[in-house]
Amino acid sequence: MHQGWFPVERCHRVAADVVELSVHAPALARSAQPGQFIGLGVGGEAFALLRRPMGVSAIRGERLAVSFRVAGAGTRWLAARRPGDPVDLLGPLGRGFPDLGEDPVILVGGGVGVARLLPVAERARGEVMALVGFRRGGQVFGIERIRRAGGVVRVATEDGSEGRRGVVTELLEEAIAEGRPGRVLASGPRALLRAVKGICVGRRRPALLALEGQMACGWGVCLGCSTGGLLVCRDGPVFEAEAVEL
Amino acid sequence: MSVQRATFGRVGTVVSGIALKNPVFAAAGTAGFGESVPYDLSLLGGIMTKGTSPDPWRGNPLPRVAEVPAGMLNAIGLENPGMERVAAELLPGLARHDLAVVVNVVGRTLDEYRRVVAYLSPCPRVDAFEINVSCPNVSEGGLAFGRDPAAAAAVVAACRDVTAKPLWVKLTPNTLDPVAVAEGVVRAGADAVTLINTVLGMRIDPRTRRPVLAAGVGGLSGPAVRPVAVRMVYEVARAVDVPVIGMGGIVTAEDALEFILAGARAVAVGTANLVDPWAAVKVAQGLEAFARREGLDSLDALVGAAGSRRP
Ligand SMILES: Cc1cc2nc3c(=O)[nH]c(=O)nc-3n(C[C@H](O)[C@H](O)[C@H](O)COP(=O)(O)O)c2cc1C
Repeated sequence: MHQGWFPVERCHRVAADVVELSVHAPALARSAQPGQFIGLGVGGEAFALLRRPMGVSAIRGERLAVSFRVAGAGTRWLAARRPGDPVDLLGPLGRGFPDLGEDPVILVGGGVGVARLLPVAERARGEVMALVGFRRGGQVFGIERIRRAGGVVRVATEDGSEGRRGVVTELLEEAIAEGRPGRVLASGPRALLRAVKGICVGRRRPALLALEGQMACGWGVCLGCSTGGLLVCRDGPVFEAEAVEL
Repeated sequence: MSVQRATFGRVGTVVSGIALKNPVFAAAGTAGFGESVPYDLSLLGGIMTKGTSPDPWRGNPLPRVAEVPAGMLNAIGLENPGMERVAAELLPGLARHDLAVVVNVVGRTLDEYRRVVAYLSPCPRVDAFEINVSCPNVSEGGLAFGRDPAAAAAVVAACRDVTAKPLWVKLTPNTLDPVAVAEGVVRAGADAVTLINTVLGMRIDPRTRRPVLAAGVGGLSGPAVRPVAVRMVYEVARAVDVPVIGMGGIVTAEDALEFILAGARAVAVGTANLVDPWAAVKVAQGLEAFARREGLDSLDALVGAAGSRRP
C-alpha cells in the first residue's frame, strides 16, 4: 500500500457516461493486480474527506488507470483533471483476481463494471471470452481492448442498439450451454453478480465475483463494508462466488 | 509513502503512569487492533482498539458510512469478535510493538462492561482500558450511560472493582453537561477521560426520501467536529484533575496542538487514519518537529496553556 500525489497523464471519456483517468504512479502500478482498487482523494466544492474507491482498469508499466461514472461532485472533480494535475492516490488496495495461468476464462461484465475486467483480459495467458452488457449502445466501451488482447467478445444491450438485445446473463447461459470452458470472472452491479452466482453455483462452474462496497477507508479498519463477517475492502473485493452473501 | 523511523526526544509524556514516547494515539475504531496498519506501530504513543464486548457483535446493517462536508457519518454498530477472540487472536499481534495498548470496552449492561475488563485485565499487553459510554450506534448501553453522570459513574465503579489497571472513560459530546459526566466518572475512580466520541448526526437522501444510513442516525466525525471537540476538552480539562486525552477531527500536528493548548495531555487521531493510513504518525512527527522548532524539551508546559483553571 502506498499513498501519494501523482500526475494525471490522461483523462477522457471512453463511453457516454464513463471517464478513464490514467495516472503516472510507478509505486502503485508496479504492485497493482487486476481486481484490486485505488482510493482516490477528491477536491472541489464538496469539501469531501473520504476517498473514492475505484477498481483498476489498466495497468501498464508505470501507469495505471481507473474508470468511473460521474455520479456526484467528487467524480465530477476527478473527471475535470487535466494532464499534469496531481491526484491523491492510496493503493493498491484489496485482493484482486488470482493469476489463472493458462486456464481459459469467461469474463462477465455489466456497465462500468466492465472496466475492472479489462486488465484481466490484457494479462491473461489462456483463452478469453468476454461477455459484456450495457443499457444502451452509447455506453459500450472496452471491447476493442479485449479484442486487441486476443479475446472473443459478445455484447448485449438492453435497447438492442448494439450486439444482442437482452442482458449479459443470457450470454453467459449460452456460453455455458455451448460447452465453453473456464472459470467465470464477473464485475458489475449487485443484481448482475447475484445472477451470475445463481447460474454458476447451480452448474458447479467456479466463479469469482468482484464486488463494490460503500466504504470509508478501503484498508480494513472502518468496517463500513462488512458483509457476513468479511470485509469487501480487505478480504475482497474479489470473492469466490460461494463464499459471499450478496 | 513510507515513514522513516524517527526519534522522539521532545514530546514524550506520561498518562496514568504509562510512559508514552509521544502523545499521539490512533483512536478507537480507526486502526482496528493495528493488524492492517502499514507502518511500525512503535512510532505511535499508543493505540485505542476497536470497541470490544463480551460476546461477538455483528454490527449494524449497511450502509454504515456516509460522507458529509469535511467529515463522515458512521453507524458501524461496534462490530467486533468478542473479548475471547480479541485476547487470543488480536492482542498478541500488538505484543512485538512498543506502544501503549488501550482496550476500548463496550457493553449493553453494566455487567457486560465489567466482564470485558475482568477478562482482559490479566493480559500483559493491555496497559489501560477506555470505557466507551458514548457510542451512539447501539440501541442499548453506550450513550445511555454516557449522558447521565450517575449511570456513567456506575459503569466506572463496576469496572473499578475488577481491575487495578488504569480506567479511562470516553465521553460523549451528545449531552448538555459533559463536565458533570466527567466529574461523575472521576469521583467513581476514572484515571483519565478521553473525548470526544462522535456527534449524533443524520443524512437524508432527497431521491429516495429515506435516511442514508441503514441505522437512520449515526456519529459525525472528522474536521467538521473539531471546534466542538476543542471546546469540550477546554471545558472538561478545567474542571477535572485527571489527564484529558483529546480527539475529534485531528488531521495535522497543528490541530493536535489546539487540543493540547485546550488542556489535553495526549491526543488521538481517528477519521484522518481512514483517509491517510499514516495520518497518526504524521501528527506525531509534526509535534516533534514543532517542539524542535520552538526549542521546547517537552509539550507539558503547553497543556491547558490557552486558559487557566476556573477560579
Ligand atoms: C469508523 C469509526 C469507528 C469508530 N469506532 C469506535 C469504537 O469502536 N469505539 C469508540 O469509542 N469510538 C469509536 N469511534 C470514534 C472515534 O474513536 C473518535 O472518538 C471520533 O471519531 C472523533 O475523532 P475523529 O474526528 O478524529 O475521528 C469510531 C469512529 C469512526 C469514524
